[in-house]
Amino acid sequence: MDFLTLVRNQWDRVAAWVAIVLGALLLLLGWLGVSDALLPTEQVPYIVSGGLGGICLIGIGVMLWLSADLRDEWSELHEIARQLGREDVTQ
Amino acid sequence: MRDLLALYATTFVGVLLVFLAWYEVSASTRLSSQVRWTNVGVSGVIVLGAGNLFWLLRGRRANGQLKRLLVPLVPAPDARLREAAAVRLVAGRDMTRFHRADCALVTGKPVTAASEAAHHRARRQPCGVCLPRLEGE
Repeated sequence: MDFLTLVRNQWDRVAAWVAIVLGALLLLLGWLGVSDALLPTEQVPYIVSGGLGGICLIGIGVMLWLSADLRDEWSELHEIARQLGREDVTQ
Repeated sequence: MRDLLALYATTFVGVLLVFLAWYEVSASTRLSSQVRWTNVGVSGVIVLGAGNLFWLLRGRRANGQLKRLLVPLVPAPDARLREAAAVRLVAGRDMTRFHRADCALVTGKPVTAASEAAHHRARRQPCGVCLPRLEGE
């Protein structure tokens, strides 16, 4: 499976990984920024942008990944319903 | 659809609050003001997290409801088929262990059946959960 096909078929999992990696990077940059700042007033912006921003991105990534798992499960259940001739229960 | 809109709305509001908090914190040099805006940012994280959690719980509940509707509709396999499935030993192409066909660890996975000797030749170990070796003992 080439990369473009993977992105097209599994866009939510790819987006999840991108968000998680970016979130981790943001946390790391925030930590580095806080380490270099001496005054608390210089550190707080790094906590908000790096810390809270990183947590948000990681949260979105985890949500996307779990949501993709749920969608796959739903697709399989829908297929079972279709084979049983009861597609109406998935409406 | 309403759940999806709620997810989008909470994510948007959450990100907006964090961005606003960062903007105001960066513009201020007073710690008291920064702490106040940091609280706004934390509120944004909470809003975003709650929205995402709600979305996942709704999805999980929807799948559960569908399962409960479908399970009674699936015809039960007769006893002979169940017995035959129980002694079949299966494994996927890249798997390092072989399983009984009814093992939960291979449910829904692309597996093929083979003899125990064939699995051993492919350097596969018996699964520690379904214990396929005990079948012949």
